Amino acid sequence: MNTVTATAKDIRRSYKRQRFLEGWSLFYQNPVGKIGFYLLILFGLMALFSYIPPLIDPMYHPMTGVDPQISYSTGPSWRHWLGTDNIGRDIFSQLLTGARVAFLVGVSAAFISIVIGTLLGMIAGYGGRIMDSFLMRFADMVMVMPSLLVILLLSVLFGQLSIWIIVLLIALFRWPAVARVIRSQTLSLKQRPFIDMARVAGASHMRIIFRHILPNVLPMAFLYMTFRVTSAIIVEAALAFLGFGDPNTVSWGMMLQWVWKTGHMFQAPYWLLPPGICISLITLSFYMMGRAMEEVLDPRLRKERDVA
Amino acid sequence: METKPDPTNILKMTNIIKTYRSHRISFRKPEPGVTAVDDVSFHIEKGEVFGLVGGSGSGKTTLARLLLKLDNFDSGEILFDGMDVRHLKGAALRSFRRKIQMIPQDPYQSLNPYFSIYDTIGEPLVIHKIGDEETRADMIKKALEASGLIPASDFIFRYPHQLSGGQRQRAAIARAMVLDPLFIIADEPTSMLDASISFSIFKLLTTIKRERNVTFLFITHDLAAARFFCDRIAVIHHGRIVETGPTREVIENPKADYTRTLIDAQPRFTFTRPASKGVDTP
Amino acid sequence: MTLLDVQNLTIAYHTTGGPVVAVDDISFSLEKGRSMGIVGESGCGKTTIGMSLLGLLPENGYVRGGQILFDGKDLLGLSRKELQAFRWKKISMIFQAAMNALNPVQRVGDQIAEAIRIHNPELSEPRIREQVAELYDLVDIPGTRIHDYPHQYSGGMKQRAVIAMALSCHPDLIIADEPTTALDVIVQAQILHKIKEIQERLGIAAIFISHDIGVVAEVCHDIAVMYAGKIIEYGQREEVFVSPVHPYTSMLLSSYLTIDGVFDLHAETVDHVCTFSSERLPGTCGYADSCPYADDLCASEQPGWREISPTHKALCRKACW
Repeated sequence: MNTVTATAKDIRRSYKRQRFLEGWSLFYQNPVGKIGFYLLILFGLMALFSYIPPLIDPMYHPMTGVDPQISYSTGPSWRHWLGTDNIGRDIFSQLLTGARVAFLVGVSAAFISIVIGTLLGMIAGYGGRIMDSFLMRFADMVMVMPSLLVILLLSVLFGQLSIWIIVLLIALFRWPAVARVIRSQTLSLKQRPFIDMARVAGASHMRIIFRHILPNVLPMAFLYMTFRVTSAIIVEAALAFLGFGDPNTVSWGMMLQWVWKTGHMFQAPYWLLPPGICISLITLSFYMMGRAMEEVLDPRLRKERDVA
Repeated sequence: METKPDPTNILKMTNIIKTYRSHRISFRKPEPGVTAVDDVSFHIEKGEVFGLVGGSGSGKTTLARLLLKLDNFDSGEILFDGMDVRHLKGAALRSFRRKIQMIPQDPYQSLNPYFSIYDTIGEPLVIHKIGDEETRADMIKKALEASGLIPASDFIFRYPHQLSGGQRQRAAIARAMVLDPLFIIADEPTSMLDASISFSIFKLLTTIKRERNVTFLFITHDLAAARFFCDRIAVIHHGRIVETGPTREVIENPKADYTRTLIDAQPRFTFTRPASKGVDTP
Repeated sequence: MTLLDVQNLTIAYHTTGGPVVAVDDISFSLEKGRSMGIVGESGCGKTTIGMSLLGLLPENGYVRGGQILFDGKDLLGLSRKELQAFRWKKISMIFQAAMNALNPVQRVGDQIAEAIRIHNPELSEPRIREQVAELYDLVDIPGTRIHDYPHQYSGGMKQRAVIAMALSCHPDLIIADEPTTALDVIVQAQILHKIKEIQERLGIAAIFISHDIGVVAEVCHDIAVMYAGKIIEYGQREEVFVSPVHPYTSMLLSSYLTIDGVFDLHAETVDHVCTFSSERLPGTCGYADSCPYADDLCASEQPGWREISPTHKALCRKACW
């Protein structure tokens, strides 16, 4: 390969790295972003460590592990750091597994909704006219649907839903907001002369959408992804708490439901509080990350001004 | 639809009309819309620089968009190098896009911020599947050097925000020239640049015109720039061409009232300028 | 009588990369009723000067040294409150992109009346209305348009309305920063002539800030050419245009296309960029890198002012004629 083309690839890569680092340093200077980031690392570690307790002793398995000596809910002890639930399962290991499920649900649901939303938003914005009206009215329809209620109804109809179906349903209900934002971004990008220049050079619509518009809307899509994560986690927790979660997974919402169903709501704060606090904190951390990212992406929100 | 290319005229526009309507659906009587281009006809000869001079809102940029097939016109005919522009599709459209290029008005907005200069200039080559990566790299380098970004290796891997306005415009020119087009539309290529830089851009365009035998359509609001660069000009006002002729003739003996107003509005140094430094262009 | 006297003004901006000097040791003075043009290319610091005269520097800008005397009063010593009273009544400004200076949801006439009311609270309402009508007359907008909204005005009319607003409190000095940049050529010429006519009729002093020497040449008595934060040539219009002394001025002039068809294709132009940096050595000529006449000394020695005539001077070592 020619040195120029080889360098071209290197430079492209290093430029992307540099842009990322610049954005990152702005992000990190923001206390909100920093706190959100550390919280997220904490939850990430929890999710990772969730694999360890069952390895130490099968009784620490969050689902099937039952302490042979305990058959009722106990408070924190050295043996069970956060106590046990009513049949003697370890709450701490359940909490760790809950973090894993929260990440799985939040990130995958958000990712799917972002992919759908970005794609449809770009097509609507770029296609214009009929395509735009059709897709956006469809988005409106999905958006006004009470998603929680519909998912509840579906789970009543089809029995218990698996966690992956829940993820998919959440994603299918949550793309319209993303599509709207990406569409309006695309509309303004479409007016930018560089799109005309690409057309003059002979670029196809596909090329314009994926090579010219996509990189320009991608940061915004990632920003919205963080907010989607938050809402996906909350929806899953609500479903689980109402008893429509996947019975084979231990999510924080599921833990809350067990507390409620077994009547330990006011008797066992060591059981009620950890999942509640975790749900609040993980949504908060994604939200804070989103806010800080917004500031990086939108120069108008930045405090520092350039030299006139 | 391929007709025989006209040996002298590369471009012929006949009775072009373009009206913009508002897209709002209304149950009342449809609005009449704005006629941006109203029955415009002109032709451009091979190798000449044709100037389209008019104020803002005169329809000059709309004409350029119609000619580039970025917009469709209501009626009339555009013949470019034997091709009927209105009905171009598929392969014919692609070969049309190879022959006609544009130098944009605003260098800050017309380069994709996520494309390096290498990618920006290489894009037309990729689209038209010209050469392999190595020959493309050579062509990109040559185009940069021909546009005065020397040495090319200093600029080839930069991103638009790392260039000054004049350098960006040079990169845009390199991109337009890399396909070796027959025809270039320059839409106020210097209106966003400082005077000394726009002068150097004009010098570059003059060199390109001389060395590459390219035909130019030069769009401007500035008669002085038209005088500098154009062989013939058409003065356009409210979507209509009010006067056409050799540049010098139009400026020295304006026939239309609007041309006269335009000439009077030009800043002029009312005191004597040193004549020793200047040379009269032919 | 001297109205405005700027002495050794230096302005810098705080940036993440340390302070950056945008205006570097500038001195000029302006007589009552005269007009001065500041010409320079983008980034040379000309807008910063205008902003500092009004005390409107951006948050990260600060005056590092020098003084601005207006009618004998030091503007830099004024408190924020005093400055506010001073602005508009004594010095007013026609902004760059003036079209955006009007509030879109308020009638244009009311906006001008508001400006008068704030600065002259003692005036009665009918008197204010009368003044607005007079101003409309002055800038040639038909009185029937007083009650229209900004979007009903054309670009040129908006610009006239902004001029009327700048004149509303009878200032002694008007600063016009790129007053015609966004306008059509024909409208631009009309607006420039209007400003000049009003300025001469009312005996107001004016400072025109522009990147376009054509604009400045039309309307100004005196001209200051700026490069990289410094005034590098200063003189009466005819002197600067007919016999430019600084190589940068000559380059600027020869690159300006006029309709007479007199061009010098061989004029040396360089794609230079005005750059400010904290690293620039204090004792060098900023133009040395791009100057065709520069020698080794230019890059190492501070250029001094050469007087060509009592009114014409240039900041160049080479300017010896």
